Amino acid sequence: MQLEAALALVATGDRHAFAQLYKATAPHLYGLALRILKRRDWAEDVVQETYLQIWHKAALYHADAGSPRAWLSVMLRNRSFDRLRRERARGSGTTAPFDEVLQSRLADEETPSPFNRVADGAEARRLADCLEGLEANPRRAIQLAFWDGLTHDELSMRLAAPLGTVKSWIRRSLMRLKACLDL
Amino acid sequence: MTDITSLNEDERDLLAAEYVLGVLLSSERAAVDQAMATDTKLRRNVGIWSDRFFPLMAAVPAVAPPTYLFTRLQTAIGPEANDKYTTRKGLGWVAIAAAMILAAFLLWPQVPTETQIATLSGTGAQSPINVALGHEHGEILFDPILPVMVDRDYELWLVEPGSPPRSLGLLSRAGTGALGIAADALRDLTAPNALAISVEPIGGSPTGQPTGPVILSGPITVTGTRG
Repeated sequence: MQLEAALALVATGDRHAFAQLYKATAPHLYGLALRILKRRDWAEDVVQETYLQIWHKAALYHADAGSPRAWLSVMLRNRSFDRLRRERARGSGTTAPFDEVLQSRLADEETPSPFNRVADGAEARRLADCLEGLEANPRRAIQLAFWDGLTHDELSMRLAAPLGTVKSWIRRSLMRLKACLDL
Repeated sequence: MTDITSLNEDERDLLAAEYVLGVLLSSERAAVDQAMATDTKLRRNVGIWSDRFFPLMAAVPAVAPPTYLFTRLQTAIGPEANDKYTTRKGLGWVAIAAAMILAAFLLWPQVPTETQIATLSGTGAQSPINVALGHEHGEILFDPILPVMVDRDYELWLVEPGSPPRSLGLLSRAGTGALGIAADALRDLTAPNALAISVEPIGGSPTGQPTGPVILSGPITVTGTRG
């Protein structure tokens, strides 16, 4: 079944369609949650919350809201970031700060950047190339926002740069990405 | 936060981009969510940015969630709270039973009960560990005897002769327990392929290939009768 059709049926309360949607998409969403949260228990919570949200709000999916997989992924990411921020506020950091790892990678020019993990497919290659085209600091800001859900304020602290600078890094990078991808 | 309706087209597109990127405060994001219910232009912008960034999201290895997660969900959307269709009420239990049977069928992993598939050994002081397939969960099980690490991850690789290693995902940092595995990877867990575990930065190899030391490896000793 097409995911669009499954979502439309889920919106009518169809449990069969919900099971099919889950089967088709849960491994991707769980993998994504693990990548962002790096903890199984949190990832399970967030995946469960996301599917509950889908069950109740599948009617909000519109064809112009992106592909179903992208829509579901963004929903999962938003919930993951909410969780991560709550845990950060509570001081229960899970891992070494990501940027330390990143710093050590950037220090070594031989090491390909983390965006190189995007290896498959022309679209992914293109996105990776466009990201590579950004300058080092703006790219780090984009990376930290994308994978760790850091807000402007958090980025400003983490990257030791003024808030206004960070905001303009993000905005200029997004516009450059858009121009690069839409070429 | 500024009123979204007062934004011009470029500002609206940037807001959509920041929404998808993940940089907005939760309260700002909620305002965008709310606006999208009626603002079709904003929704389209968010949709386009979602598709633009999706290749990065899709590149993350899929991991089969534990089966109890779906069971929990079934319970959470249970009949009482969610019998949205009054016209179906009489058939409710039949439909639920049918859905459960279907779900059980869909989710039944195509693996036999627990089977040892490999013994991985290393060159250093690390003791060999046994690797097995978990019965009914589509999981790889490990002996819990890897050293605990706080600032690195263990990454499991499938090594097929003639191909670059393929990541099967990250082990728990404590080196214990089980790793969920996707059905298509499961089919490749047969001889003559091999498994290897490397030490990687938090979050896994930055390159998609092992970058840290391979601490354990070994051939898969079962032949392909699964799946």
